[in-house]
Amino acid sequence: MFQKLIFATTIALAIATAQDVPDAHGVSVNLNGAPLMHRSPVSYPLDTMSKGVQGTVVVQVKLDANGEIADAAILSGPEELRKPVMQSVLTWHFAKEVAGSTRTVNIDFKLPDAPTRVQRREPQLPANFPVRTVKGIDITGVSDEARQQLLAQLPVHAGDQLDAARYLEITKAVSSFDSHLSIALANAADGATTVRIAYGNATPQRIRVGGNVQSAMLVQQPAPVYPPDAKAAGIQGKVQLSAVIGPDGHMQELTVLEGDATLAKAAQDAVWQWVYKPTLLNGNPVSVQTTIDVNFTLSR
Amino acid sequence: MTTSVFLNNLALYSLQIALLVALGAIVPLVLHMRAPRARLAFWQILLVACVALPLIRPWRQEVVTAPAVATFTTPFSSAYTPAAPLHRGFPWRDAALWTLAAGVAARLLWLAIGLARLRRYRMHSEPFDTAYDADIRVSPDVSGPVTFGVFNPVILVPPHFADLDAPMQQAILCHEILHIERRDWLFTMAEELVRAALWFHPAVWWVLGQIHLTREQAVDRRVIEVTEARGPYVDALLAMAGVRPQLDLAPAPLFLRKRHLKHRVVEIFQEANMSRKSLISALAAGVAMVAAACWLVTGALPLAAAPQVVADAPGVAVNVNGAQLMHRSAIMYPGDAIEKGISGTVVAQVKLDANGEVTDATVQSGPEELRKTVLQSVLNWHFMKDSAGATRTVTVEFNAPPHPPLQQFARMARPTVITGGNAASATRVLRDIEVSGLSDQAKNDLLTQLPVHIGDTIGPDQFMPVMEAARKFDPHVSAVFVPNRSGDYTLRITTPGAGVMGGISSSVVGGAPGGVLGGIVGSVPAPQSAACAPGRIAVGGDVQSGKLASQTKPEYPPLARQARISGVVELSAIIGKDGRVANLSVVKGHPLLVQAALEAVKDWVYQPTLLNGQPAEVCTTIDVNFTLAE
Repeated sequence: MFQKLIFATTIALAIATAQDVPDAHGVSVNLNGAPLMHRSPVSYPLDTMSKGVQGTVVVQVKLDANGEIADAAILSGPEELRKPVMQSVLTWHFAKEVAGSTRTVNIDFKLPDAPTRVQRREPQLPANFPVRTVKGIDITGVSDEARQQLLAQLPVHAGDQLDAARYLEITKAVSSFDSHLSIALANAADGATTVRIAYGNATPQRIRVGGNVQSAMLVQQPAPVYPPDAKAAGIQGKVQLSAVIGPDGHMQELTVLEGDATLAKAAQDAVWQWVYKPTLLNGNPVSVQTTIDVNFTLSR
Repeated sequence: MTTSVFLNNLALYSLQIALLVALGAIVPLVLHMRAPRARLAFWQILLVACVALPLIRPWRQEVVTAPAVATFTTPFSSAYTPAAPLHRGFPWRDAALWTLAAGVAARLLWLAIGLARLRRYRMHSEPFDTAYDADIRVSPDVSGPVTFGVFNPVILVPPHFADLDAPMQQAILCHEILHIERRDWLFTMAEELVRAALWFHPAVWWVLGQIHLTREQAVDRRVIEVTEARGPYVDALLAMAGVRPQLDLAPAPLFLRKRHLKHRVVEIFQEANMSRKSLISALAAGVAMVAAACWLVTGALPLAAAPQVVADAPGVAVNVNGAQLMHRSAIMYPGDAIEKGISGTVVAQVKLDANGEVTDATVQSGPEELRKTVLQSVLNWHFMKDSAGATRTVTVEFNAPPHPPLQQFARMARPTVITGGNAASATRVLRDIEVSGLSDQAKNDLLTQLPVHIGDTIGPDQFMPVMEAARKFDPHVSAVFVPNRSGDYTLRITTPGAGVMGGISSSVVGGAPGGVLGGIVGSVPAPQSAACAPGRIAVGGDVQSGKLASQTKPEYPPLARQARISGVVELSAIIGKDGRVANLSVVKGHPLLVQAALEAVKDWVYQPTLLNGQPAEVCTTIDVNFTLAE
């Protein structure tokens, strides 16, 4: 009986992934039989994962004569997961057979088996961050009210000296005001700098880099310890971690994406100690988001 | 509202008042408002109109299309508002603002001092014995009769009041008691507040002077009607005029201002009367004329609200129903909705989380064809923290711009051939057809509908039919003929969702780092194009546009201009280490605009992006915004 149940689940998963759309980890889409032309993947926001939010979002879509979505409304599901569903579903395109009808789509968000462990640390700047004089502050892309509120909250003014600690304070103030804002320093040759704050991804604070590219930047890399229990039980496999490496090259945030719980803990403990060379994008220190796979294999 | 906008509006408002008062000053003469109370009512209405001028018409709001608000936009055709420039030299605007504020504060202080003084006088006064049913007191501090108070009104008279004749006393007291009955002190206080707020405006002072004079004249008229003793009353006025003048007490009107003496005496002897009917009709006409003047003046000198910075498509108007936004993305007008001439209002309800970001949105009403575009935009909006956690309603109005039918132009559009430069004109063998992103079923259906097959020899003449067939099957696909080195064509058909998100994972045995290949843009929700392969960094369009070294402006296609087609062409680009555009593909855009955008963007040159000091290849999105001037 138990084995049958597992079998059924596997089949269902296989159907859901037959479309070969690269949905985020833990996301499975059930179209309830509606044929699809193409669709965009559904994301599982990392901060939602780290808050431990999972569940099923049921969305009702109304299709127009071409099978495209004319309107969509969430029927049920966790608040935090509704937006990624809406954003994806609105761009889907169903086959013409079901054009004009109203369809219900279930999207399951399931947290990885390993308990989602998030480790965080305050970001630090590289030790050699130069001190500069602030020439001016530019804020673009937000409404006038928002600009004035932000200016009043910023711990910096034109003429101030900007060192690493102050720069961190500013980035913290900006991101707590609005996490969509990005900040960069436009450095002049005379040691002065302009703080540029803009809406959107204008000057990324964090860039995403492929694991292999980033692994070339490793300075210090303690190997994980194979947990004796896991070894005894013969558990092996891959642990996937999502890492944010701070501007100073140290780990800033580490989240387990998938893998066995025991192995995940060992991997996370080791990777948390890793140190990279600081990454500079156009001379501005940035944090780097990357994915790290740790493979545990038992040699015979 | 910024300082400059505020000062600008204040100057316009002052001009409006000046014009309105100038026009209003003629009205009593034209309408023969002989009775003082008619004139009083009229001047009061005029004052209210002056104060209410900014509320009469909606303020002119300039809509600035700022690409900074759209997700990724390369500004080239839209007006761009940079951050306010730094002022150098003497800060005139700030000085003006401070002067204004200081004036208001001074007037209010003067009012407060006056009230305090009246209070003190009242406490130091002694009751005056009369037969009247009013609180009459003798105060050594006043030089003439003063009346004030709402709930406990009091009349202060100077000590020499007792020396006057009985008929004169009676006339003066009658005047003051009439003020109390009319509750004139309340009006006086309201007028003083207006004077404090608009202290800098001579026209306001003039209207206030007229109100004061006509009020006294109206009361004079009533006194003579009641006492039927014109002689003693005029004597009393003259007697009061004889005494040493005293400092003006702002919050309490004096019995007599010297400069009013002549007007008041003349008025008393003129005995100009108006029947009730003529009074009402004159006032009605006066109000109508003031209303017309208001409308004229506010139309001629409109006040300006702070400019609204959005990049919505032409014909789209957004109303957030009083909520304040941090930033928002633009709302597009779907091309086929414009073609079909679909207009209407979409009402969407958005649910905000603790940060003011939209977590859920539903459309409550509106045309089917316009719902999706609203939902897509609204999900990216970010409201100010004061409306966080709330549910808000957003109303979006669509007005389809009139334009000639599109079909006749569509035929003439040139096909989009992205790579290969002039090779596109050659006749070649179609070696392969690659379809990605479509389900197997859809892929087979599409292949049977294409007018070409593998092995056919094709030239530019076949491009258009192929693309039309593909687009007819699914308007989202882009069909591109790619010439390859061996001299053949590959037809590549892709959907926008065909991005590769994950990549290939490689791992090392024994707990060593592996990793996922494939650089994907950070913090960008939209799926990235498959082109962003390992070793490249993905960067938002705005960074890149800031690093443009040379930029060719796209030409607005004449056909699209004629058809009034506007909108955004979204391109996905790879910029090489040398800063040149190495590869371009279309993510979306109107067929009539795509070609022009591609042709311009392929020549753009960027400053190289340095990752750890080394030039790196960059994947970015370039939005080319085609806007038509109204």
